Amino acid sequence: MYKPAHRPIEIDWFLPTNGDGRHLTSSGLPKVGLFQQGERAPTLDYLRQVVRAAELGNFDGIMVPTASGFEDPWLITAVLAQEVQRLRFLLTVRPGLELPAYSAHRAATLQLLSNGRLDLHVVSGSSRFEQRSLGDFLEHDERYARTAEFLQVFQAVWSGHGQPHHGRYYRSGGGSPIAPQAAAPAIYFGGASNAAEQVGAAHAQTYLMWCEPPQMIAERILRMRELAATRGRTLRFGLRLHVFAAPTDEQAWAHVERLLEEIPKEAIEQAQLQMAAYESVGQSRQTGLVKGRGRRARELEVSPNLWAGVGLVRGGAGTALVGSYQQVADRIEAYSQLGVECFVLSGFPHLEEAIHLGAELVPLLRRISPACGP
Amino acid sequence: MALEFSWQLPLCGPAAAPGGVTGPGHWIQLAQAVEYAGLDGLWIPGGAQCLDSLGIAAALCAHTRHVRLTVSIPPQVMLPAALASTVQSLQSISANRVRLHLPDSEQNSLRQAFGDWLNRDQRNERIGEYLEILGRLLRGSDPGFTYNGRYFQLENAGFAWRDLPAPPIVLDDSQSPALIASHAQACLLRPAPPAWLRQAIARQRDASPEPALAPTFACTLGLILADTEAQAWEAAARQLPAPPADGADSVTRLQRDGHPLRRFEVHPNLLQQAPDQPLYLVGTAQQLATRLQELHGVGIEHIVIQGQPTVSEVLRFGEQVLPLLTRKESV
Repeated sequence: MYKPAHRPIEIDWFLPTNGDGRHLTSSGLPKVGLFQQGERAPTLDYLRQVVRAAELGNFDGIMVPTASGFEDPWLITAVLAQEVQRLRFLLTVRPGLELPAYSAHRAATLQLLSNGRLDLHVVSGSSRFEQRSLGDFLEHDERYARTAEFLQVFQAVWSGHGQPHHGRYYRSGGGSPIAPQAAAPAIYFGGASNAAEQVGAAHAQTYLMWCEPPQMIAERILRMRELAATRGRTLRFGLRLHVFAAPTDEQAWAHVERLLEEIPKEAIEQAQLQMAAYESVGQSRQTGLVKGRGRRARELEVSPNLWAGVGLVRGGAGTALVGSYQQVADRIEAYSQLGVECFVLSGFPHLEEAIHLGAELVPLLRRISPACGP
Repeated sequence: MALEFSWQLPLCGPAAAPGGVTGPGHWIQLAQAVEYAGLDGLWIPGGAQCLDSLGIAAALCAHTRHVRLTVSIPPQVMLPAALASTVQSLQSISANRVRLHLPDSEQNSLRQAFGDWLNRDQRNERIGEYLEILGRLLRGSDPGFTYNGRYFQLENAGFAWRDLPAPPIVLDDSQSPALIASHAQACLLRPAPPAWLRQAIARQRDASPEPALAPTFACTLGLILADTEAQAWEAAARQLPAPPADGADSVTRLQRDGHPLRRFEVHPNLLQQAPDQPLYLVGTAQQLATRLQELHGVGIEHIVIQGQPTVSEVLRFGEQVLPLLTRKESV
């Protein structure tokens, strides 16, 4: 059982496994392809530097994403876990593409290879276009029902409770656990729809959200705590966001203004169209933040120091904290007072920014004393 | 073409579990010994009682430079498009060293552990669809295709294809010759004496539309190498489980004097206690080299060495047997 009080916050970094660079469109999806020069391919030689920088920067872990065209998160984690000794790997897994018993094998193998540093970030899908290209035709809400069953089977296989499972989506035989001494990976869970909230409340240990203004996050935490409580459970909460921090807030805002100015209007429109096709409640909450706002950097500040400009051109996490190191640390502390215990950060490019923020921001975050109890 | 050798890693069964005799450090050490000793590749088994072959292969990319990585993965554990994308990623991470073995799902343990309940005909039909999709996605020949099969449906499949060479596919000889001819670049034969292997190779070659497209052939052997023939047979007796009581079975045996185990010698220096049981090559370095040449002559181009997961055996093979083969080839 989690005891939220007196536990330091978790600070994670992000591994850009479909490319990286200095621009808002350099990592993540959609890939607009605006800046060929200086864009970095996700080669092993690059990603191993990012992982090392995250470890040296005193981050706790690193999120490994998944999508079509990204390096496979299981494989890249198997390689990179050997590069560092302490850093944990928060591996993104999509139920529906492989059997839960096999995912349990993969997780057990990674626990052996990483000496127990694996956690799982379960996301239930992407756009209908991408799902179908992979052979998955389930619609949104049904994908969450499948995720629930996936997690049940995963955990049964892991613990070796050898009951044959005959479910709606999966069947499996009993069997013994493949690595009985390995610790079970913690389950982080993403999804903002009603269907997702129900599954998250029942199965997640940490419920992850793309960062929104504090009031919106507070409402979601309250609702999720109630949903979990009806099942006799408690949840931990996490935020995924970008950071643009500098010695002064003027420098930080001038930097994001430049990043915004280099993006042509058509690229923003094209990206917004693609994101609208994601059928993701979390995504529409992110794009909703920029609706009706101007295109100057400060016009996209949706709550103090929270900037929605990334979401103009990048899917997924579309918000960033922008400001001086101390301002960013203060905002993160404010979220931690709301009950957020885990922060998954990005900065562009992910190598230099892991070093930069590791030196300037992480030490401030380590002083945050966590909130007391829900 | 020179005979190719892969060494099989011990990743299955109780020995692979933590606290067993091996762990990540041991696999890495063995892989490095295989590369150092001049062998061509590693065979990374997969299945219900095994660790994840894909993850182990990726981990070994960090510690080896040029050995081929033959990764065995039961196809029923993931959708073909998911496997294609994972394999492309492994090609990228390994600098194109991957070969993919898809074991026949006829083994009950596999089906039950991973939850597969189709009958044989259905499985045959499904693996055909699976291999067609996988092949198209790995070759990238038609990006954005739609597929409507009985078991698999896809839309705009392959839109995220990456320009990497398609790895060769290895199928078991228990699959239908037509399926192998259509989809495999190599065929793994069950352990059997050379006369049987010769026939199996001829059968499969007949199923190929033209000889140039016929798959290459691989087989799996255990090696028991010693300084003298007598010592090798004694070592075999120590290593192998006690032979079954002599009963009627279909293995044709040579009449040999000497060590009692030699009543299971099915061909000179080849020991097999029962059909489909592992085949062991037993003898001196010179005898092993002669027999491997013979297998090569029969049509085997790839030998998978299993059952001896120790660095000392790897180096002994590399230093004592491989030079004899190279010398013969250059004559």
